[in-house]
Amino acid sequence: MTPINVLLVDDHDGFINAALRHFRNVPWIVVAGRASNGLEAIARTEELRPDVVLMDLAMPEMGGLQATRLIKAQTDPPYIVIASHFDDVEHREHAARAGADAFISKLNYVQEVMPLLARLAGEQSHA
Amino acid sequence: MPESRVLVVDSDTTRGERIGTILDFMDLNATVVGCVSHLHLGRHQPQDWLAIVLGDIEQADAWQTFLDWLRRDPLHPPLLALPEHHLYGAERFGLNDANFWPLDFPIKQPQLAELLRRASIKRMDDTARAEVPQGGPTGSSPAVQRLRRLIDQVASFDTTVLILGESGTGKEVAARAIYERSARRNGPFVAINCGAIPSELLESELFGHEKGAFTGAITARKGRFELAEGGTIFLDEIGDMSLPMQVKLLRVLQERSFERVGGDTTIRCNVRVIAATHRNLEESIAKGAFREDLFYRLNVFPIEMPPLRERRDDLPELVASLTTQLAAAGRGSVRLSNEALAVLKAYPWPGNVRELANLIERLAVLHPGGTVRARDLPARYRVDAEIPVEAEAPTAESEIMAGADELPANGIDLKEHMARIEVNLIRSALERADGVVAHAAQLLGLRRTTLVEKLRKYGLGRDSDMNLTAES
Repeated sequence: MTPINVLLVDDHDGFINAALRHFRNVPWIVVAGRASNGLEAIARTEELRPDVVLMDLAMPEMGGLQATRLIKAQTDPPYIVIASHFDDVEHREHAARAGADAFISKLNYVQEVMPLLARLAGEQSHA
Repeated sequence: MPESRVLVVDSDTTRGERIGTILDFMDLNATVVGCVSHLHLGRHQPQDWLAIVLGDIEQADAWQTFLDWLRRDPLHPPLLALPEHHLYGAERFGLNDANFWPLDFPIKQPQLAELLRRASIKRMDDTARAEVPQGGPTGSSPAVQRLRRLIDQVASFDTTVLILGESGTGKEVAARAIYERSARRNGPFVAINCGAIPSELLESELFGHEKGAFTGAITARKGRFELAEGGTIFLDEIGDMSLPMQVKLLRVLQERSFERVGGDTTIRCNVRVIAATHRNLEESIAKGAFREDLFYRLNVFPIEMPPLRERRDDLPELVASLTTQLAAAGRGSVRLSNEALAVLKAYPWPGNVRELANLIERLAVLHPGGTVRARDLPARYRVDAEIPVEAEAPTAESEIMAGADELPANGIDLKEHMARIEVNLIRSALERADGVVAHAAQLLGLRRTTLVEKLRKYGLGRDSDMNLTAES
């Protein structure tokens, strides 16, 4: 599989570190960088051109929904996954409206994000 | 893993700490303080917190300072008030009820979880509402004037409205404008995106459910039709609705009544329906994906949203209104240079006004307080401006070919349509002639002076994107 480049966006170091520890053991995931709020996420996405952005919903300064909208305004935007503590119809609706490509629950993060990334990496290899 | 932050203010420190522990246990990040004077307000914004749990207040003056700071942000988080405040209610804090939610103690975790979930939804709803421009569509092109006329015509009646148009053309803006001008403006406006909700959940979202109707239905819940009672419901992306749901919606439109999922009581409803879709519903009917009878029920008063590329003259006005709106919402200020505007005017805007709004907001964030020049624009906006002949001509031609000789089902504004054809052809000719008016006139079989007159009439001569050369 061609490795996919992932940008991790979360305001909690603990969360980022846990994700880094997990992804380190997966050969086809490359963590291209990290950002701790939406503003940083916009700048880093432009600079690092990741394939996928794993975006926290609630962050200080600028939250994940606004950042998703503004990243999608760039040329060739990445695939954006919103990760939310709350998983219900309303939260999914807002994520879709912001232009997010997928939605996962933070309470079930690894179980939901891995199949998603595997599918994207597979599609990329066949493209 | 912790995500959302919750502030707990309680001078009863034992109770405060206990609530903090419960929040940690729920994977929420709690900041517990005995008094708000311990916070450095300069380093925070009210929206840093999802909600504020309020217990005993120690220093009244510090609390008042905090409250003033909080209320300056119209989208501030709600107060979850512990029992000692229940008797006095929101007024004591100068808040409205929408921002004052009673919380029981001892804490019941389901109640706290539900309040925090609602706080998160409220934040998203309030933000989204602040993003939808008030007062209807912006611009003074013939297309927008016609659109405003249609909105004014239909607003005061309870007629079902079907809003059609490409993604991003502002269908929700039009729907809200109809609602704001209607007699129902004091009732609720409830929007739902039928395309964003999995079909198996849509029925209970629209019509609600009774307790135990399905796994996970722990309590009875009102659907959006019930929440919209006395007001207006906006059903966005109606073309994405599954056929079984279409049958259920048809019944509501015919009989003005429905049942909750798992319920047998028929609920009467008084709700005005505005539906919208970016799909061509006639095509969907032909493919068997949309019910013809539902289409006729919805298509009572169709409104077609013009794509941005057909009203490029509105661009400066739209940009001005968007930048003013951003600055007013405290989301950054930005100016666009004339040549940047000219470049944007040449772009075909597949994502329409929404794409423009997102671009302007992005520029405001990346160039705070600055002036954006053409070269600061993202690459894709500049491409068309640099090679306008290739990028523009096919669009203009295919538009003309597609729309010239067939009368659409709901008629046409002939004058506007002819003007659009004329402008498109003139633009193409100018581009092919590298902006030399005399050559362009030849291509169009016009005298040079006639073309100059037309350029003046359509305001094309002032466009620096054309690089006009008056004489050859």
